[in-house]
Amino acid sequence: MAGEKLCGSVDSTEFSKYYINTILVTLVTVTFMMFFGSLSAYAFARMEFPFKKVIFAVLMTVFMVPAQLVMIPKYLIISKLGWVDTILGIAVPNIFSVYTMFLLKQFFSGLPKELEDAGRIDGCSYFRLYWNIAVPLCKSGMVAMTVLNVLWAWNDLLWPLIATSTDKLRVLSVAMATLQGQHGTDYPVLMAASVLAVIPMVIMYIAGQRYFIEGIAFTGVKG
Amino acid sequence: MKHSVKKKEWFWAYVFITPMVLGTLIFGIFPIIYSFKISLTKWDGIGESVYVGVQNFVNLLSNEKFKFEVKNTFVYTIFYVPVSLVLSVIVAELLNQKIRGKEVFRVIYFLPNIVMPAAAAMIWRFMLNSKYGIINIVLDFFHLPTPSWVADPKFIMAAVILVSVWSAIGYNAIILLAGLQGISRDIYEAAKIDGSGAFSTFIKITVPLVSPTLFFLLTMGVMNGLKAFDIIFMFVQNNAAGPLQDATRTMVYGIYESAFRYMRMGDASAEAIVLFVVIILVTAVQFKLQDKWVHYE
Repeated sequence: MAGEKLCGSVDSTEFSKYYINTILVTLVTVTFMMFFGSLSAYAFARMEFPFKKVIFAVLMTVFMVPAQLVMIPKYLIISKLGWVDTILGIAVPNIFSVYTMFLLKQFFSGLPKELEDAGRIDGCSYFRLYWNIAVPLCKSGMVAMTVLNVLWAWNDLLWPLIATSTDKLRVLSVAMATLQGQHGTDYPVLMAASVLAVIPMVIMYIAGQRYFIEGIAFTGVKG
Repeated sequence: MKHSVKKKEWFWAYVFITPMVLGTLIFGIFPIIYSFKISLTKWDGIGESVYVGVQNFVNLLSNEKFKFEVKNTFVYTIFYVPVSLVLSVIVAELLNQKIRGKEVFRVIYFLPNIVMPAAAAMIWRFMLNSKYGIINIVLDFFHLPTPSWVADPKFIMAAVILVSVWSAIGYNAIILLAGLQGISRDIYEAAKIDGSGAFSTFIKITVPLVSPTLFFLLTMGVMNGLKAFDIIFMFVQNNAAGPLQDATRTMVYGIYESAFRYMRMGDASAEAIVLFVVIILVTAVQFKLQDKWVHYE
């Protein structure tokens, strides 16, 4: 019924486009967030190198700066690069998540020291130690962080609103805002759209609630 | 031999951190410096920028909109943070009891946190509608006043805070629950033997023991309150300039509007820096005050 209502008043192909855009943006953003985040987390947790503490401290300081302070220069950068209304513009500025790195570092630090010794005797490269040993052993942490990042990327409004000017790559959150502008009081349409925008996250939450709860609780303990 | 192994480790460690460091340089450190530079100019983001010194900051002080934005940002934070914290403590305490179906309640309480804030704001706007919203139908049934929540400048901020609190309780409660579960049962047994009542046990034992968690949630909550956007945007964007808009515009909204509606990058950056300084100061004060009430073991 919700679908019919939506089709009746809003072009349903438009809405499915927003859906596909949101899935694409979330997928690209979170994949790179997790890869770069876990790779650097592994280095900070399990490897020794000069200036390790200083570099880590600088990254953490930058993380403390609210995104709202840097959103204008970030927009100017993507507009200089011609990335407005592209997947690069929406995703790239968000894929370097110090927050993800910090929390995954806590997970990696918890692994026993002997693991890498065993791996090193077998002649594993550093990348294989990270990818084949550390990541699988921190599966629950990786999944928890992935789930939290997916939720964030799916729901975020401010950055996609700034980084897009047409509806070519419009995501659901931005669509909510524009729908509200166009159909101010057409509540059946607005309600149907909200429900459709929310359903995937609710399904993900119900399917993986253990990871959600673990992840959230972990951010509180270690954050 | 040993030396070359070490060098190899260094090399790979730097390879591993390079994407994160470069990305943070380009989209973190450079924008911070750039923000300060833009704040000293008059610039539409495309043409030539003109150096104007601290004029943008001076202009803010005489800007009526800015006054509303500062006031609303603080009003929002001052209500949103304590209300959501108190309610979260209650929910977490209830979830920590030995009751049947606890897992189901936990799932339900956390659900609002999953809901896209933009969608949540839209659904709540409907429920708060003065004519056919469910909230006023219920209030009317109990012969309580039925204000037009989203159309009255006196009530719209209350509506925004209500939605934000609703959305935050689950997250806070889950974190608090983890803290509560870390408290040993023996302490409660001892308190019971000493004849301590449920309420005084809660105030004298539970609260001090979870105070580090409360402190974390308080500082994070204040930060999130000062920079909140999504829900506020959904309430403010449809309203034409006037009392209704002035009642909900916050600093982040002001920054967004100056930069991306009017293309006044200098004014917007100046306001962003003011907000940044406010966040630093407020957070610093909280860290200073934490000795007075936070107990670390």
